Parts: sequence; C-alpha cells; structure tokens
Amino acid sequence: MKKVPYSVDAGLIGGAGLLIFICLAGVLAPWLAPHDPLAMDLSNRLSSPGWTYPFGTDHLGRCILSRIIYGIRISAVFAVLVMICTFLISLPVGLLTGYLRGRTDHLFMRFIDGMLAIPDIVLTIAIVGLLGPGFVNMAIAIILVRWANYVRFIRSLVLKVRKEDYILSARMSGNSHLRIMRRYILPEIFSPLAVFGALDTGKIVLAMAGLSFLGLGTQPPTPEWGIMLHDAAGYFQIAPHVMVFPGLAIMFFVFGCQLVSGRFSRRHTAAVKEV
Amino acid sequence: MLLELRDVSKEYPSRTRRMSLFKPNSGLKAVNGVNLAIRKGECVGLVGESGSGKSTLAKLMMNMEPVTSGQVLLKGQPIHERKRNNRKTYKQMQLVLQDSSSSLYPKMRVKEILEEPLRNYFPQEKAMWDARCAGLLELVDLDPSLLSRYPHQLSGGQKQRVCLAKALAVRPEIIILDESVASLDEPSQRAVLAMLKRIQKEQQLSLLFITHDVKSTRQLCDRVAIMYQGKLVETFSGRDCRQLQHPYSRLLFQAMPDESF
Repeated sequence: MKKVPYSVDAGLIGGAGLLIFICLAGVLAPWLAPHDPLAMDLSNRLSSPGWTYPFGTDHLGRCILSRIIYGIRISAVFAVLVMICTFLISLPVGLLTGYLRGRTDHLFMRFIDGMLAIPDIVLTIAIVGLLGPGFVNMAIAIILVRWANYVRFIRSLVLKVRKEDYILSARMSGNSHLRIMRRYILPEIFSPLAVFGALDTGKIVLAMAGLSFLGLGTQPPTPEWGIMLHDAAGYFQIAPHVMVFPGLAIMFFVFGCQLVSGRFSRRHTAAVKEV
Repeated sequence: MLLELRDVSKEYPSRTRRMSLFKPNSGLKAVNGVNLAIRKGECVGLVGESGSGKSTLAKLMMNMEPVTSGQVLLKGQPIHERKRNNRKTYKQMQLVLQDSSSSLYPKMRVKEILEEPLRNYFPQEKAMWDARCAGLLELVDLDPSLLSRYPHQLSGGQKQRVCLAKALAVRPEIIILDESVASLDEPSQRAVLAMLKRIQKEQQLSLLFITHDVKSTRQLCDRVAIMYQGKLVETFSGRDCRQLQHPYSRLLFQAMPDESF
C-alpha cells in the first residue's frame, strides 16, 4: 500500500477549529458567560439582542448567550460521551461477530436486523417513554438504539479486513485471535470508524435536541440546546432570535463534525484507491 | 511419512436458497477423494489448471477449512479436527501464499513481520531475535538493510522472499508454496526456485509446490501430482513423461517445449 501524504486542508482546519472553539467555550463557560444561565429577569422578557444581552433573552428573561455557552457542556460534551459509550458496547461485539462469525454472529445479526427494522426515533421515544423523561434516560435510550447501527458498521469493516491474506499470514505466525484483532484489524478499521464517529456525534446532538424539544430529554431549567428550542417554539413569531441562536449553535456543531469527518473520509478513500 | 492425506474431500454448499438455517445444502465438490503422502525432505509438485482444487487442498492441509470427509495426518496425528488448536500445526507446517503484496501487513516493517513468528514460537530466544531476522534475510538472498523497510518499499521478488523468510522463521518441517512464484517474472522465478532448492537441501525441508505451470516443477520437484477437477489423477515420479497414463496429464506435459521432465 502506498502511503498517502497527509495534507492539512481548509475543511479540516475549519472543522477542527470550530469544534475546538465550541469545546473551549464549554470548558470556560463560567468565565465567558455574561450572565447566570438560570437567572430570570421577567422585566426583560424576550428582549432583542443588545449590549447587555448579546443574543437577547428568552420568555423568562434569561440570557440566551449564557444558556448556549452552558448548553455546550450538556449538548456537545454528553454527545461525545454517548458516542464513546456506544463504541464501548459495539466495538467488542462488532469485532467478535465479524471476526469469529459462526452461529453467534448469525443470531446477533438477526436480532440487530429486527432492531433496525424499527425507525430510530420511534424506538428512542418508546424507550424514553418506558424509562421516563430525563437526561440520563435519554442518553441510555440513544445508546440502546444506536449500538446496533455501530455493530453493523464495525462488523462490515472487520469482515472486509479478515479476508485479507495478511490475517491468514498472521495466524500462521502464531498470533492469537485477540492479538490479531488488536494489532491488525483495529488499526485498519480505525480511520473509517473515526469518520463514522465524528459524523455521528453531530447526529447525536441533533437526536438529543429533538428529544428535548419533544419534552422527553433534558428537563427545564437545564440549559440545553434542544430544550431551548422547545421553550422558544411558542414565541418564534414575535421573537425569532430566541429560536435562531440555539438553532445556529446546533448547526455549527454538526457542521464542524461534518467537516472533520469529511476530511477523514476523503483521506481513507484516497488510501484505498492507492492500493 | 510426514504429511498424509487419506481420501480427503471438500464440498462447498451451493449458492441456492437455503432451506434450513443450520443444515448446509449439498453443493460443489472442490476436492474429491484425494490421497497424497509427502516424506521428510521431499519436494512434491502439485499441478493442475485453475479451479482444479489445488488451493483448496492447501487450505484443508492447513486446517483453514474443515474437510467434508477423509483425514489429514501430520506425522501420523490427525490435524483436521475443527476444534484443534492450529498453532501447533502451524509450528510444523507453513503456507506461503501467491500474492506476497497482500500477505505482508502494510503497516509493519520487515523486521516486525519477521519478529512476529519468533515472538510467538520462540519467546525464550528473545536475545537472538535481531540476529535471527538478519540471518533469515540472508538465507533468502536479501540484504539485512531491508529490515527497516515497509512492504511497499520492496519489489515483487523481494516481497516473496520476505514471505518465505517469515515461513522459515517458524522452523517448520514442511512448507506449502501456493502459486508462490506465479506472479514473478521468469528471471526472478528461476532465482527464487534455485534458492528454494538450496534451502530445501540445507534444512532437509519438505515442500509442497503448488503451481499451474508444469515447467517450474522441473527445477524443484522430486515428484509431481496432477489434479484435475478436484481429483488427484496421477502421481508421477519418473523423469520420462511417457509414463503418464491419464489423458489430461499427457496433454499437460505435451504442451511443454521440452518433453523430457
């Protein structure tokens, strides 16, 4: 395989810069937020953006900018955590089913086929409905629904790699199955997994925002981007900024994830073409 | 007898719709009742056209695929059981594949590739690994300076030699070469075959040389077995191709420019 030189491009710099900026803003929230995100000021309800409140205030007079900055901690950071938890479940399952195959793989795949037959959002709502609304329950529901997608994806990558002659050759060199998975298969599937993970982090933020918007996720008064959209829905016609700014925050985060994953994806495709 | 195949058959299920989840359908017989024995220090050629079942037979010998019926015996011990720990088999028997480019892991240097079998089979000789790696490269007529290279930095012939060095690192008793020189140009083929002959003599190694090219067996093999449509139709140890009985074998050898074997 010919090595493809890794050139840094505008998309990667832009995407990574955007994500780093958002994450830093979340970490430095107590210093960056101009107001307390939970402090209400009913005399300043739905005020337009200005010097005191750069993004204006919501229907309870809370500073929208401060709520968006504190919302990063929930929306972005927890999206990454949800993704990591999903990977922790699906990576071993995908690796083992794809590598070892056999009857267990067959049964797992039929179970996953059954799960995937139900639309994601319907299943998530059903699970949150069973567990009860709340942030942790929402995260559990998203993990329970998404792990099947991840297992399918990881398994498909492993199936492709395990057919390679160097895996056969590695077996003959006396390597254990575990070492082959760690030393040969994981490095090969890492790049497409990074693409998938980066892209999916954006989707998880959207899913969390969607569930919070439906009242099933984060509960008021927690500053979270989805619940902010939910609260603002009733005032969109008289004060559009209340909905626009949280919407833009979600859009920029998802856009950053897309840019980074797109760059990884192009690099991976180029490497495959060069073989 | 070092390696013995007794009435070995392999049948693959057909691609038609399965009627049952757990029962395989009857299907294509890739290998059909093959009997073959290889003695210590002997080099046997296995010749046949594409699709005649040569590579399947190699996989059955290595227990990479389960046999449908029959026995594969290594030093009299059966090695074809499904639950067998193949590591013990690989210690005594190695397979060198046709495509050397895909057999070498592209993210490892030659040194790491050669160290893998040493680490797994000879962990107690850790202090010797570096010298062994260099020695293995010298054995296959390569310069030890190539140890720091990645596979994509080697030529086709060099890659094939590294694959062979990797197989030799295990110190096996038998090496199966599955079309291992087929992808090389003729001068490289001749050089690799001469090197194989030398190593075989030096190390009293048994070789099963699988090829579709009858000519290449001439330089290396003591005996040639001919496969046709999954069956071993003839085993031929003489130097005169007039001994051949089966019409396919005769056709195969008649196609050679020089008829004497």
